[in-house]
Amino acid sequence: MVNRLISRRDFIKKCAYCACGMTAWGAFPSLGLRSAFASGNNKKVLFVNLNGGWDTLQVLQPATGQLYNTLANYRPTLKTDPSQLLMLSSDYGLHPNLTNINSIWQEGKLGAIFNLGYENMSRSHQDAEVAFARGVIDRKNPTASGFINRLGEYYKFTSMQAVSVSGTDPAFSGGAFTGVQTPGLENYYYEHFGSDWSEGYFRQDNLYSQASLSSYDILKPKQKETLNAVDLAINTSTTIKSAVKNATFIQNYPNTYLGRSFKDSDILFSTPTLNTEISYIRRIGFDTHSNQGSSFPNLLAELDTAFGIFVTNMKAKGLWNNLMIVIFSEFGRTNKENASAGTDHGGASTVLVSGGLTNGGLYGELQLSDLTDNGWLPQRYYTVELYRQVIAKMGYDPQPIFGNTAGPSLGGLFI
Amino acid sequence: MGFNNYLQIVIIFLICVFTPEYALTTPKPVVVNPKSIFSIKKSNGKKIYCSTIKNVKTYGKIVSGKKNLFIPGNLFIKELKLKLSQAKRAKDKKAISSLTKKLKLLNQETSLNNNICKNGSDTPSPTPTSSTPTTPPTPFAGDPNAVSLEPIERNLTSDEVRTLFVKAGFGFTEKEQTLINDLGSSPASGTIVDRFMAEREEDNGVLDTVTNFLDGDLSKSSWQHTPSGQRQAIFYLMANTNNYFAERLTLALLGIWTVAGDVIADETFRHTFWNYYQILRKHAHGIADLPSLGIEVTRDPLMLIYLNNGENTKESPNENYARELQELFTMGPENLDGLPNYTETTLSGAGDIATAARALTGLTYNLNYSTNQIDVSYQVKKHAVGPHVMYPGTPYQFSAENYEDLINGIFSHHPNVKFFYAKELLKEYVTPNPPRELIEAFGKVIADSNYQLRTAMSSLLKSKAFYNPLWKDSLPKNSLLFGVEAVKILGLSKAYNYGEADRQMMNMQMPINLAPSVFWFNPEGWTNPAILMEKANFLSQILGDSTAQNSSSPPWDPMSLVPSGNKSPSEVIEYVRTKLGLPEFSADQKAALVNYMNTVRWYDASLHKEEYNNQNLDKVKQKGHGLYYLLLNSMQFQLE
Repeated sequence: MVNRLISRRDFIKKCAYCACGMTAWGAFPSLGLRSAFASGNNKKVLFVNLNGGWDTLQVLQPATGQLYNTLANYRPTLKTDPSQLLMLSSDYGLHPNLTNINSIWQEGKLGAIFNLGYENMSRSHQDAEVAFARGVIDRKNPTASGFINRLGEYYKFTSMQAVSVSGTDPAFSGGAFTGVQTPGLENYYYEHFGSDWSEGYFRQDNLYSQASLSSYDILKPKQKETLNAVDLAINTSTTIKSAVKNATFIQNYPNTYLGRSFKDSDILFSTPTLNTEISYIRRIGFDTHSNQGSSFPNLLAELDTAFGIFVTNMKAKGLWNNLMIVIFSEFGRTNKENASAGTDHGGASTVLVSGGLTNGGLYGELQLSDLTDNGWLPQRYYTVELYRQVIAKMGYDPQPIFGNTAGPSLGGLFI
Repeated sequence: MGFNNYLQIVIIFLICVFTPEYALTTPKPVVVNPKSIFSIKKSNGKKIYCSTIKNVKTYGKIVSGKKNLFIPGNLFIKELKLKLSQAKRAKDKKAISSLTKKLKLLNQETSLNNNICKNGSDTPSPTPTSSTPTTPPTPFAGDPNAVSLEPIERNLTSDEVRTLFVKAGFGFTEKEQTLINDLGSSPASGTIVDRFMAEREEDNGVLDTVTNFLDGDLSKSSWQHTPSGQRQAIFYLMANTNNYFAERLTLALLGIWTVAGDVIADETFRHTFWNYYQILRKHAHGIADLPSLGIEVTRDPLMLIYLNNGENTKESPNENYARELQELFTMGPENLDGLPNYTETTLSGAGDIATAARALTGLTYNLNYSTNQIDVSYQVKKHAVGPHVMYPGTPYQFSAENYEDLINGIFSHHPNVKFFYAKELLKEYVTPNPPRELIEAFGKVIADSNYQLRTAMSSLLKSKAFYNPLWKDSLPKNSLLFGVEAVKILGLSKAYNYGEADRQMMNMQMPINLAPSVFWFNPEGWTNPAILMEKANFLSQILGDSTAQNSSSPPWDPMSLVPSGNKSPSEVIEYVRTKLGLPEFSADQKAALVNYMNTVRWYDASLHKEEYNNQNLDKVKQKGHGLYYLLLNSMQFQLE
């Protein structure tokens, strides 16, 4: 048995080592001694992809000066009167339906990043979403897999460490990592209508297991992917079913799409056995080409309500302080409203970042030329820089996942 | 200094005091020429130091205040290894674990930084996945027949016949076998493809049943003709049709000319999706002339509403449909070299999208509550008079006056339309990522056919490429194709309760008349755990839930799935394998399945050994159906 008591001489000697150690800590930040502490740090991130291209000029609107005047001229029906905005600063205000998000701003835990995008931005839904999902500097130089897939593959994530609660998603696709991607946790279990077919037989016979297939190595990629996916479903269904059954909430979620998705994310984050670090929501419907004045505020209200309840639950469960929430869309919308009282596909957009780890504030600002030079906002901040900051905060080295960053740093985004 | 920094200091202090001596030390520096030391700022803002040691640029640490003392990074590794060996000798498991992790990280970090020193810049380390360049892809290096659209000259094997019916139809069951019995076991490719594609009368009652699902009489206030009823009708039609090619092509066309039935909230007009689907069917059953299809879809009321072209007038232009017409329906945003196919709208209103939007003006609709139809009209006064010059300054510039000119012009002038359709159809019928050579070859065939898909598809289905082994088992079945084929194989195509099918399709993420995701039809997406699980649930339900077997007329005989007579487990397995058309099993797979046959599941879900009893008909049915469950879930069946 090891004697853990130490003598006075040893104590002094070790204190000296300690001083050296502290010097070394500061001196060798890039040697991995720090990151050994940092990795697996139990920090969590929720990505909320508001698919279709959300109109961030209506989400966070200029409220004064030439910016407001120009925008008001461009958007006769879609502008919000500054008196109704929830002001974040003297120049910008949130849409009045975002009261819960505004509360988080008041707590200093909401960051808004203006003009975020990537090089060679696309105004095609599919191309733009792929660019966001891949997490690259330049859309024209893509990777073959989504950034969550790369992260999971590199750091050998379990299938539950990164989960999409909105079904298949390109951020999870294209590489060796197989994360759970379900349209909802409620239905993620095997049904047993008969007495003789169940995943129990899958397990017993090891029918799908790699181990039982002597020819696994020569299988085609799609064949391997299918085998792995079935294995994964078998191995995770019971755990998730149990988590759903045992979940409790301080405040219940509404039965809206985002309500259900935030609820699923709550379950994932608050069930220790799942060890989920990334939850991913994708809510379609933000492609508001017409009558935006009636449809978009409803979408924002749905977001804000679900968000507010999620925050309440996360705080009550002691998870808020280790949390990041990233709310984004594949592109913004045109600066001018169209003749159908809607907006068309735009360019860069504003991304909202929240959670207890966030350093609240406005990152960047809109320029008048952003509104007048083109029909859509130009890009200044890079998606990849945002992702890098999130991943680094989670304790993972972003370099092997993303390579270089570009553009202005978002180094102060998180505490 | 923030709280975290203080926390770090406290942690280090505690670690140092209460851990053995092998925790942290600094290696001895080496003496170098001060001029050989240089720094590089990494992309994350951190600075690292490098020095040339033995002609190799090496990462390391300079000793503060000493310009000629340098500690190469590998010395830290060496030091850590030494400490690790000490910890191992002391059998301190905690320290071993900690040092091993540190060593791993240190190795990674040092290797990364050494590369940065060597390259002189912070270039990205190789990502785990290969990059996909957009221009131009590597030439196809595999079997040239895999990209050849020359006719396959020899007769088809039975396996290739199955490939034809599975990939281009809805599976290969006894019904399809009967259709080609007279052609022998090894028919000529041309003969069998012509037979496969031929238009045939549907069986008695099939179309009536489809109509019943829809309840064509809109004056009735019934649950039918709902979005659910439409989905059931489509599922039923696919499971019972004699026109495999045309109904399958309809689904492929819906994947391109995508629309959402739920965009119209008013129940009065909820039949509009079905009407839209009939446009696609009409063309799939005919010559599938794409320009004509495009014109008809453009003036369809559901499409006018879905993509806002019904609001697009000369006074109030709306560019949504103009964009998607080019991006989703005809050419895609970029060509095969990654260059834009069209120009965006400028502030002055120029650009191909804005121009196309002007050409598309004039179509309007009216919700007619007296007829329960949406009337579409073309109003000259709402049309922006042209000529509208598309793609100006390019060799394929053309002038359009109205939407018909525009669509005809796009198909006849724009060079990428043929490649767009080639790629989309190859993704649907051959492989999810077709090589450029195959896209170009098929694109030429499509253009040569004047965009008549029946002609072009006939060439594809008779080609060497279509049957090439390289593309076998590379295409995951989408949920609908999987479900229809399973229902057919199990003999439930008429007896199945299609209300249950609809529920399962929703679970399998393919409610085909609702708003599709951009990735809805992307073959990449169909092999994810949740969908495979729901496919298993679908099978569990149709095999085990009596509500799924709507067996009153005609009755379904569950024993029809298992061989008659006293069969051994191996014989039953072979019977089911043949019925499903699966390849030979490996020895491991056979052993696993025999093991299944000799196992029973108790009430508490535990599994126990019990020899298969072929005298007990309940057991024969139970184990036989279980085999279907296992094998329909197999990788071999999931992939085409």
